[in-house]
Amino acid sequence: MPSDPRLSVRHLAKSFCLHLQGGVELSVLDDVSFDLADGECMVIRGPSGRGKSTLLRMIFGNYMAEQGQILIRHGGEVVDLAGAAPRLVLDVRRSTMGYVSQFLHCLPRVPALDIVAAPLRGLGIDPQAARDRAVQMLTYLAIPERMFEVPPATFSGGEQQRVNIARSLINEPKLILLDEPTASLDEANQDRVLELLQRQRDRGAAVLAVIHNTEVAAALADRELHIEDLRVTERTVP
Amino acid sequence: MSPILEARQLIKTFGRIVACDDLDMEVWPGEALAVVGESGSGKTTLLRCLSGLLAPDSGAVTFRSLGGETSDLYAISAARLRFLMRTEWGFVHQNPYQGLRMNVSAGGNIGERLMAAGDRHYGRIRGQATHWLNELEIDSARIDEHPRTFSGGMLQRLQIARNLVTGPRLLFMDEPTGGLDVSVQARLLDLLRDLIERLDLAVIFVTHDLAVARLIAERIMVMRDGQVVEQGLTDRVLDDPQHPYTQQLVASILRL
Repeated sequence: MPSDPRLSVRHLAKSFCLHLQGGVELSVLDDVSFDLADGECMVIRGPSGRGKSTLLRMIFGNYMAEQGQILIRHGGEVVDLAGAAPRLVLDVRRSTMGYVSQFLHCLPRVPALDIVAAPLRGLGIDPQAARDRAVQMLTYLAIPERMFEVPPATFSGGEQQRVNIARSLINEPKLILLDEPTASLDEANQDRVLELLQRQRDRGAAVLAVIHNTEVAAALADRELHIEDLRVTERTVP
Repeated sequence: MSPILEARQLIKTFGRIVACDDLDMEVWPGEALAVVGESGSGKTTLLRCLSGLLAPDSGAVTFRSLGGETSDLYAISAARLRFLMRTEWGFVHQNPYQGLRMNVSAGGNIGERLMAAGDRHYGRIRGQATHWLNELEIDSARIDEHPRTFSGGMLQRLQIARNLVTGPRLLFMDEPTGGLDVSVQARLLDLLRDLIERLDLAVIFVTHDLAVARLIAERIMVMRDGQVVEQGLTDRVLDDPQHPYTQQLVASILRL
């Protein structure tokens, strides 16, 4: 018997009301529904500006979902993050859901190692153990050791992106959301990140990723979701 | 788990000005909440009402101590309120001159709060003062100096040390980095972030600086004319603001 989906999106809709531009209403998504199971990787594709990132951000709770449901299996229960209290969203982020944004939100003056270790500290794990694990993650992602104690604000785009990935995956979330995780990486690092994501999927994580690069998408996708004209359709993976 | 502090139907007026217009809110243990808005939006008045400094015209503020015992701030005795203020919570003023005594040494400023909470052991008080000076990155060799010789950033750190020495679970802060140089402000924010996480403090702080709010608080309340116009997760409110006023605030941030 198949287990319940990790993520179940139901009739999600989103528009932006720009009050400073005379109340212009921009519709981005309408009636979006899909399921994602543990150990499954779904890649979201479609032209720029059609709401791929918006969909990820809504699931993460970073954008407000105005209609529909975002059902996530969290601990032993299914919770609806659409319109959920901030405490619930934070709790789901702490232990169930990870998000790799397009750009690292650098905290000024905090060393790379502590940025990566922070999610483990948030789970109450001993700070030294958290740092040890962060060292492993950064080493795996080929960040040179001499950069561990440096705040990543001065890192290159590719280095920042790997710090971002390390931070978001260090606590092994059950649901992983990724927005162009390999966009600014060279080929060797792209392969490393790809392998890391495949490992996450193989340990049972549900992975939902926006990826433009056709090869990377093909290497990772079990399923493909296309966004066009506010709606999503599922396409078979070539 | 229950909220550490709850306010219900809080109303405070100054003549015809309504500073708190029927506000409901709560803060949970270990949660950092930012209250933002322009000058005159009522945020400082709200903070003063919540922290027992200013009685509202009507409404209730309830504090819940670790054992689950609740105290209605404006129904308990003045002595009990004073005790709670000295032990269970701290208040960091924007102007450190309001929160420190300038004619008492740095160590004395910290120790005074411990003594007010009932400690009488000189060696232990001095040891604690030294410990908290170190925690706030103030050279403990300056323990016997008067704070008037301290820089603005040091004064603010001393004020925080004085508040934390009794191990409060809730900290109120009114523009704690207002009036400081940018680099001094950055260092203070780093320290605060670290302390809030390590001590599992609940924090309610007022700021007009959205970048500071994003750095420190996981939850945010946007106030205008004594009312909360929008609230929620800090990243959600700042990245996808719904209310026209919040959109205007976010659009006004200077980006480098």
